[in-house]
Amino acid sequence: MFDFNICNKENCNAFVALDSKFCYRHSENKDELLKKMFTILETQEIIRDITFSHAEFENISTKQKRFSSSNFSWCTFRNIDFSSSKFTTCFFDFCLFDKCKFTDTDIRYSVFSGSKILTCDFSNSLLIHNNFSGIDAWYCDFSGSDLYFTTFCSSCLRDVSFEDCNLKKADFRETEQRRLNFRYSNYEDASK
Amino acid sequence: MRIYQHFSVVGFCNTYIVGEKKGGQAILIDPGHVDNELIGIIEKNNFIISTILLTHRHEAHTGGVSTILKLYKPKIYAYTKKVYEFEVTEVADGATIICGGIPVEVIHLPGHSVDSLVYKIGHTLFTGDTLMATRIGSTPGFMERSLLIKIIKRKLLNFDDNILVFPGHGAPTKIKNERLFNSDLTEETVSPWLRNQIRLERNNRF
Repeated sequence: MFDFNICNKENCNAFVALDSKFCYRHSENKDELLKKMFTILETQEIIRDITFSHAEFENISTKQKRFSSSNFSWCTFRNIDFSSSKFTTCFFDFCLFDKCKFTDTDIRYSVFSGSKILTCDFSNSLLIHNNFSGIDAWYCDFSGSDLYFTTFCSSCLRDVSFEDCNLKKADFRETEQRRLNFRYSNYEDASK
Repeated sequence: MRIYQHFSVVGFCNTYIVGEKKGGQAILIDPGHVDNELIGIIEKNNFIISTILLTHRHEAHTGGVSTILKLYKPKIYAYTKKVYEFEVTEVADGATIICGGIPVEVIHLPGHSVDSLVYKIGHTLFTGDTLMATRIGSTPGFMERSLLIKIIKRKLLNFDDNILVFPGHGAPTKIKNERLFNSDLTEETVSPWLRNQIRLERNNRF
């Protein structure tokens, strides 16, 4: 699991970024930390036990990587290609995902709660035991995915496709739904 | 510290293994069912199960204890003296126990069952069936449900926003997410009429 050390800045309860004593937001050498994080994302196959919150990532490809036990809360991801990657126990809560590609991914026990997810593609993925509660999703595609035990509770879903998905034990309670597509999916097996 | 999750198709329960990176003594939380995958995680990481923590006595969370006892010699902790045929070390609310060098705080939260416990290890809470992502545990009646909601708000939602929550069923979460999006916990503070008004207003906006 990532490091649970708290930022040294007074009244800040965020976890420290990488090996720093501060979170990314309160770090004095933000550029250096970000550079270090980019190097990790680009060179390492396995990204494990990393905390890096409140940062912005744009136009990078992290295809076929393995992310595990990491925390990227409050980050912004624009035009990132995560396709064919594997995520286990990763925290992406309150993030902004814009035009990101998650096709053919295997995401388990991960948290996307409170995130804004715009024009993202999660199609043909294994999305088991994930927490998408309170998300704001626009023009997203989850088609052909297994969403077993994944919760979308209290979310706002607009123009989202769930075509041919496994929705067994998925949770759509308290969701705001507009123009959703559940064709060929077992929506009747989900909680609503 | 490393936390490994295992999903059991028997009882649909999450089992957690907590240990150090280098292996050695480890804690097993709610062994609902033991299969090759769970043993594989334990052995691959060179763990020796020295402690079993039970969040409550329901079969889905205790079914694998007998198998673990055949393989390891763990000390079992729970709220009651005996869980089925197993001898258990009783723990009370507010106690801190040291399991293989790892301090574990015990929080008693009755509601789902009388013996429901939550274990706090570092910045993580293992909540069993008391608090799950966007849900609270089932209760035998409305009285118990009301009690459970009150006690979760008093004892768990006061924790820091970034505390991680690993429930007995379903996806992990954080305290902040539950405070904002758990409809079971927010329904008491917002009246059904107001909820409906908010929904109508949001729908009109789009």
